[in-house]
Amino acid sequence: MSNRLLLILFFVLFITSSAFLFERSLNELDQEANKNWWTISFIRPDRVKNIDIVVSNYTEDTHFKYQILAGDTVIEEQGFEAPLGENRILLITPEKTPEVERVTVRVIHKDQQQELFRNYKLK
Amino acid sequence: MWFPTLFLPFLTTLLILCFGIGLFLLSGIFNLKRSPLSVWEKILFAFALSQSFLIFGMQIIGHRGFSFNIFSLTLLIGVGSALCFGVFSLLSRFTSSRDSSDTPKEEPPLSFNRHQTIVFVALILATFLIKTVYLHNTIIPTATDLGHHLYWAKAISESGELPYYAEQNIVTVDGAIQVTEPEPISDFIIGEHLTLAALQIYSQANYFGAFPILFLFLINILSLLALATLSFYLVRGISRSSFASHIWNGENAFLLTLLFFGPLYSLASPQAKFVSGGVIGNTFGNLFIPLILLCFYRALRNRDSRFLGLGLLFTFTLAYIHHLSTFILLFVLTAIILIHLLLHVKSLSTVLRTWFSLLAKPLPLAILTFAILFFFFVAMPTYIENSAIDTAVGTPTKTTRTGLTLLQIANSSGSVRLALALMGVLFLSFLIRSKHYAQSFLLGWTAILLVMTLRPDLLFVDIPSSRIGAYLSFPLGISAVLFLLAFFAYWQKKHLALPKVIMLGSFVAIFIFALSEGSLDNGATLLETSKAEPLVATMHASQYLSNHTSTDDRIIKDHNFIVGDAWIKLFFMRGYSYPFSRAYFNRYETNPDREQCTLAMISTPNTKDGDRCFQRTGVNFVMVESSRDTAQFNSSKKFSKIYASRYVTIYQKNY
Repeated sequence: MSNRLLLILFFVLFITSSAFLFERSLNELDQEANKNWWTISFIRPDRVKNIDIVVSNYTEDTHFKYQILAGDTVIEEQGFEAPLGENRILLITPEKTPEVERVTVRVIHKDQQQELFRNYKLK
Repeated sequence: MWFPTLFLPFLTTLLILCFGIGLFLLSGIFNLKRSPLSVWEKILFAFALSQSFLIFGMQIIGHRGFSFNIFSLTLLIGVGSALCFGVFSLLSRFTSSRDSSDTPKEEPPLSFNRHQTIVFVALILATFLIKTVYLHNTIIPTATDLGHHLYWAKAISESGELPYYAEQNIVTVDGAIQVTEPEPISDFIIGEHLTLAALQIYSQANYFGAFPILFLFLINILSLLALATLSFYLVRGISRSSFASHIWNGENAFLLTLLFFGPLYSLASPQAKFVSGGVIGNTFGNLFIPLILLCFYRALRNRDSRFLGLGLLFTFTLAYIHHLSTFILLFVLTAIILIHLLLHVKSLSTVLRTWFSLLAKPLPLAILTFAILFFFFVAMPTYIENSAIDTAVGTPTKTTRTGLTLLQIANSSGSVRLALALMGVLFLSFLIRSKHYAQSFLLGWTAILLVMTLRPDLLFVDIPSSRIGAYLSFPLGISAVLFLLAFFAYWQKKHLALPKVIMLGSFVAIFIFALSEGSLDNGATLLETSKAEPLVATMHASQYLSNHTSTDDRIIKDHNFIVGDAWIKLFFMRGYSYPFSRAYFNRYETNPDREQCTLAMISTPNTKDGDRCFQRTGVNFVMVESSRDTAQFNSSKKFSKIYASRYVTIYQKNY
């Protein structure tokens, strides 16, 4: 085999390996592909009294439930759906902020739960 | 659709920027159809010339105030390369002297027979397979070093300007905690980032994708070819009538070198692990060092000043890519020169006259002139501007810099390679009396690195010994190759009474020993598991925080437990040290003078010290790993929890 053919072989191998690794990287960094995680976050972290949240779901299961706690007391509770790969917005800020030191938003999904909270200084 | 829309643009850009430019410039120096270059040398020199062109070209236009974009880079490549081609052509014409005593010596090109071709194909296939399998799990961007480097590459491609390498620090001055203004840092050198930035500008590839690692992968593979090509010429340069020529030849040396660095010992440092780890400078150094030695060797052996010109250019280029590799190279070249002069002490004037006649030709002189003008009138490497050389020279001060033991070298470079290499060094020292350049090169390269690794105090080298040890595997491997070839070639030629079965058996035994140790070395490195999910979570959290903060906000994150944390800064691009980082715990323990705020703000945020640190630094967001550092914040009234997932949690300070 001439040197030129060996050189072509070298580049073919490099391009093949690179294409394989490139695709692998795209798959791995795809938030949805073969993933099992979800997040919750405040939509407006800069607004202290606002507890609206967004739930980002990257699991197959779309069933969620949220609870709002004033201190240790559950004041609101409801189920909701968040399709795979979507950001589900929940506008759940109560009209009047409870007079407690901590308001917690708890989201339950299958056997896991995540919480967000805001701390307030009582007058 | 990823192949035509994402991969092809990257591949096309890579081939043009990394080979097209260089091949064009190379054709100005050598007539590529009738040149003394093998195909492997052509692509190696083309790649290195492309790097030289981009690194110096982009610095010239950057310092002139031009912004980096597709238009300006295309103009640079078009006009600049045409200019360089013209200059190279002119200089090379005058460099090739008509004096017959200066006529470059020609030799037959590398040519494999049928069996050797099969072996080459098998070796190159195995090499690509092993490295691809390893990178398959490490292709995603988690490596700390790579994250740091790509911050600067992204800064270049986003701003279109040359970067100012600086960082802010938290310091305690007279008991008061404060955040400094950006201070210069010497850890990064411009050549590590310019080509990546150019690749991204043209291809619009995602920095969080595969392209940086694929670029380093290419360099790593090319460095194997550089080593094999160097071996080829070194063996060619040692002709011995006492060696059987069907064993002792350049082609066998090429293949054996490819075996020792390709499928075997393919993954551990300084090879594929440096690729996935994003150790950009070292990876470049591992290509440029053997390539530069190849250039100088060819210049001397073939009496061809064009190779000398290339060697000088690549040396200067390396100085703008990686300080440690340049430092090592200068020691190696000095050792080679001294050893050669020592071996030729009786004909010193002849040797020096030969060297001078090679140097005093248009191309090498023009390269030297360009280097001096660029250095003094365009830009110096950052480590020289910041006077960082003093930190590398001196009596070793820390225990990590006082040298490795032979056992440690055996563990890092492979005991088989070390054993064979030491035999090779002996072979070169005592058995060859003809004092070839090959002998000086290999002895100098191996000996100086052994001294720098085992006894750095003798050379006043104050650098972590493990880092120097990473450079040792290459000359050890080549010495091992030479010894193995010489051993069997000698016995074969002498038709000694050794039965063929014993000779074959000894070769097979060494081969299996090397194969098993090299494969074990690979196997120990192959056990990485994918960190895709926690990495994606880190990126999601970083994007959230980037969307909800401004330059007035200050953030701290943890380096110990968050996956891919070094990449978080790429979502903000608000400074190299933004966000602040809680470093590895042992850094605070081993250096009591180090600031403790970054530790306190995450580990003990509710203490007086932690509180004071928050007040003085202005940090108002904390990013931590969800299973490790949340208890101290969850119980605190001073923080709100604003983002949560299995992997990353973000808290906001309530002021």
